[in-house]
Amino acid sequence: MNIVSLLLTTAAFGLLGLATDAHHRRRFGHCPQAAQRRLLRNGGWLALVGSVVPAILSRGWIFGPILWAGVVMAGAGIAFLALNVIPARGDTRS
Amino acid sequence: MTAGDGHARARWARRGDIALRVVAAVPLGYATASLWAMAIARLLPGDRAEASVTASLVALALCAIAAIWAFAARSGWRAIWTLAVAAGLAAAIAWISIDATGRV
Amino acid sequence: MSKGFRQSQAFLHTWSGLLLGWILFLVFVAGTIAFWREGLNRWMRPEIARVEQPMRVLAGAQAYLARKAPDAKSWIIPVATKRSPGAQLFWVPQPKPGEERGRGRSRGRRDTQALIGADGQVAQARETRGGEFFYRFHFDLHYMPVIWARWLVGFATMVMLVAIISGIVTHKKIFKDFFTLRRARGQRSWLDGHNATAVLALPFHLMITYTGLVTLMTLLMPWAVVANYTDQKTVFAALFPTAAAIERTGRPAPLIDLRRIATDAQRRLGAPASFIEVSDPGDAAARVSVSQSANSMLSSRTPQLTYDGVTGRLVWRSPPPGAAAETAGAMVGLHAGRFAGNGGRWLYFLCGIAGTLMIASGLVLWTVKRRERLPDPTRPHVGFRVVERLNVAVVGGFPLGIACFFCANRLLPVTLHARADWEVHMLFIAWALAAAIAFVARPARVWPSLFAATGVLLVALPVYDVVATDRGLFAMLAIGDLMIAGIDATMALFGIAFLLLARRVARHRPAARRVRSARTAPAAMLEPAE
Repeated sequence: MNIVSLLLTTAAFGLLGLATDAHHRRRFGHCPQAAQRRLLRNGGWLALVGSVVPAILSRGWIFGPILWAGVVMAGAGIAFLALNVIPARGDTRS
Repeated sequence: MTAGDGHARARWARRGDIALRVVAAVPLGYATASLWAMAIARLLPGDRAEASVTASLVALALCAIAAIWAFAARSGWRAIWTLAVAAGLAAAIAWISIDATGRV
Repeated sequence: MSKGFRQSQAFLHTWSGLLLGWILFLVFVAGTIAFWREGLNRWMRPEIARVEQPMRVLAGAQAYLARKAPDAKSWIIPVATKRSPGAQLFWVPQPKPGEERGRGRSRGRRDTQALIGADGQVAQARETRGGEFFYRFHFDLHYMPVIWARWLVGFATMVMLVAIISGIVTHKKIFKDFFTLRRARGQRSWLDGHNATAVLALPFHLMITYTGLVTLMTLLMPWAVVANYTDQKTVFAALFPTAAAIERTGRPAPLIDLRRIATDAQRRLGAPASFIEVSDPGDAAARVSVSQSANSMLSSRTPQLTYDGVTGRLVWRSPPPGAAAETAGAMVGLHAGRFAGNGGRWLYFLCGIAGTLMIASGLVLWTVKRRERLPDPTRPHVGFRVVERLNVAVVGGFPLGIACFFCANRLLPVTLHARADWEVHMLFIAWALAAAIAFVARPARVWPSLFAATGVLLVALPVYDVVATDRGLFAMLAIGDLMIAGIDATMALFGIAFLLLARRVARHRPAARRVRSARTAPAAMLEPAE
């Protein structure tokens, strides 16, 4: 359950990051269109909100939110690293 | 008055303003938060130990807010007098309450 | 949010962060390391074995104390766990007539302390402060009265809370910019790094700062108590209740086997115990108090059971705390993170590292930003030079001091008098030397040297452990002692990281600068938000 929550937050921040111009351009070669951007953003927020559920299921109402806060930070960190460190087709610098 | 004097005057005015804000943030801000800690501790009903703990927790946040306000206020003097009024109000509340019902 | 508000908070953020940043760096480094204090307590005593049977340690502790301090006023016995080096017990002797009473005075004395190891005997371990040094340092600092240190750290913590809030206000597109990381762009890259480490662990930073203030609340904000109480003892009795004290009778009576009481207490509490305090052992009025372990719940204020020391009958149970007291306890518990298992500890540790990097990058950002604006970069003004040198001395020097502290733990002779104090002196001596170099030599040279030295020492430690002790990484992995192995591995990783950092800094060639006009804008202090 903890892992599920972590996967959801990582996916959430990945989607939110891809909704930004810079990262979308880097991965897909063009800025996101309005519809795409909305889809990515809504998907991201949905995944983020959804990640609360496994956290509370796994640890209850006191430790659940604490775990969730931790998983949000961890997921954000992983997504951040993935977006910035994994080389993409759009990179001109070596 | 030359342009240079004008610049120097403006610089000193700014430093004075910042000094006032620092005074507002640190000694005055702490005093205001502490006095509100006392006022809240007196105003909260119920167990006295509980009231004191709640008031202390709130007052820690008030310290930070006072410092933010000290720099956000339109001027240094405004920061000082607004915090002083807030402090005075809290002091009055605490004083009246302690005078009326005393302490444990 | 108005532009004026954002600008004012930018100013507040920069200056509050700078002035207290060096102290906060020390607090964060020590506090982050302190999340592993139990492991370090063991790592720094390589002679002792892992505790497998806590009850055996307890029996040994009772036997030792019955021999050594049979007439003491009280014994304090921590219940050993797999993570602790044993039971670091201490006792309070009966006060001599006319002597001032008070527990705090004897806690530091070495002649009323002992460490009982896994086999129930006094542990033959090198004298060291272990991981406790880092825990204590991060609020008591060193070489100064603890009250001053706590006021200083408390003040710095409040400033940090203000810096975080003003940082959030001033950062216009805080979440949109989160994913941005511009490389090799000078000031912009430092800003992105500072923002990333700050925003990434923002929930942690807010939590750890505010809860840190809560741990020091009785010192920093006593006024709410003063408003309701005329003396502190009444409120302490209300918030930290204990069984009513009874007078020593003077009639000797054998103390019950503490293992029976510990087992019964753990059964009643439904959780492990952490502390056993025996008052008036050997007397008919002996009492045994058992506290539940803080590792088993969120709040740091754990339930307590008090037993009659002769018959083993339960005489008192602590009442459940009120909501406010429970909240404050939960906040202290959140700060210490003792409730967290290994995964949670790693998360706390990584967040602490993020916070440390946030502070360090903020300090460096200050100089990077201003260097780009200096009218003459070869003759910076005094303020700039002081900040730059202090950055090197603290951010470069303190980690080196810590590496030397660990080396001293391994290398100082076991028979050295006051060995534990000397390990700490070595930290400060190394740091002072590094700071001295930082103030005389050019920063561009000193940064990589200090990082390289730290890296070499940190990598050397696990190598030393493999070569010169029987507690090397592979041996510990073989017997499944993941804590010790983990510490060695983490030191090696940090050592490599410092070496890579040293190489990166040494190779850094600043981009050619545009020459700025001699007139600096008068509004340089109220800079626009980034």
